[in-house]
Amino acid sequence: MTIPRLETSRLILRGHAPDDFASFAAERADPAVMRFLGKGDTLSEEESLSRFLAVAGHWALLGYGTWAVEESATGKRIGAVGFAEKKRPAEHPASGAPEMGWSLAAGAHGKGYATEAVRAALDWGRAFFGAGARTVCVISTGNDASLRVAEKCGFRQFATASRYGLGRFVFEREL
Amino acid sequence: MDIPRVETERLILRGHTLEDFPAFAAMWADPDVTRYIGGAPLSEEDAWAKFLRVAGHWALQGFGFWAIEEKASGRRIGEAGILNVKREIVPAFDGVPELGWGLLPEVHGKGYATEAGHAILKWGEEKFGRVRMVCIIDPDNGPSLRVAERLGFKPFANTTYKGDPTVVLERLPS
Repeated sequence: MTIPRLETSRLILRGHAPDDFASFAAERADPAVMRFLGKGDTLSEEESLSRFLAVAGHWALLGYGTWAVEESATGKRIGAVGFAEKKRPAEHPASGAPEMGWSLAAGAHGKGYATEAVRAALDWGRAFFGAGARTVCVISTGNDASLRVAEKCGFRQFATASRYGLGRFVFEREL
Repeated sequence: MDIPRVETERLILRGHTLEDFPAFAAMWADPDVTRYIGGAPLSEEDAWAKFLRVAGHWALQGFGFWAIEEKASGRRIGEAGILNVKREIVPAFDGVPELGWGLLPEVHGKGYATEAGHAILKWGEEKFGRVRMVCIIDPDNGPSLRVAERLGFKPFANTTYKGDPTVVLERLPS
């Protein structure tokens, strides 16, 4: 399928191409990026490829998914943002709704890029899933930067969860 | 991308669709399937991640794993195909097409894996040319080792992969 391309004032959201794997894997090998994601551990190249393939497969099977975030000024891929169906267990408070997620290379933190990218993805999601559809996100406790992004983008915390011994806040909002 | 359809005497190899996921997840939740592949049954969530990878492998690399359908029953009975997944394994074979297969226990012993494997090797030769190929098999998985042998693979290294004993086999272009 053709993955939609979105533009914001400073960013381009587009599908990942095979050439993006190096930067995708480099982010996931960086402790500063991974500290609050998943188990909090960096990923090997093999594990990163497995995620990278899943990102492509998600678009192919469901027609929505995760974009590469490109900085317009430099043309560099600086991260990823999008919606995912994760098939979390039914008892998880985030199950049953498309789940928004984002991650940026450490060098792109602190510029408001995540907020800008998430807002663009939410706008797209409103058209794709329908106005009023519910979306969720799950953020590790202590990940203050991402917690602020969620709040700025209109998410409200409604539950907590725990995984791999790490606490999470679970947020929701209507599109 | 459009995943090519390959037919053999008794089987159809085709791309997976969303409707295949329940059968896919059931297969990977079966300890008799995972005993020699991966080691532990997969949760629905983990099976889903694997299912997405299967689709993404085709989308990004232009080859991958097919669903295997039994012509007689129309049922999805397993999967097989060619991978390139940067396995952390010594000896490394990054970039060498890797053949793999997995079938439901109840259809074992009918020669289906060999039949699918021959068709895939033929497809692979058109795709990649006459190149070396590899596969990895648990040393206790006698039936799969025999399938590999019938397909022309020969063991060349005993190693471990994710902590489990593993035989690496290769098939050299004739």
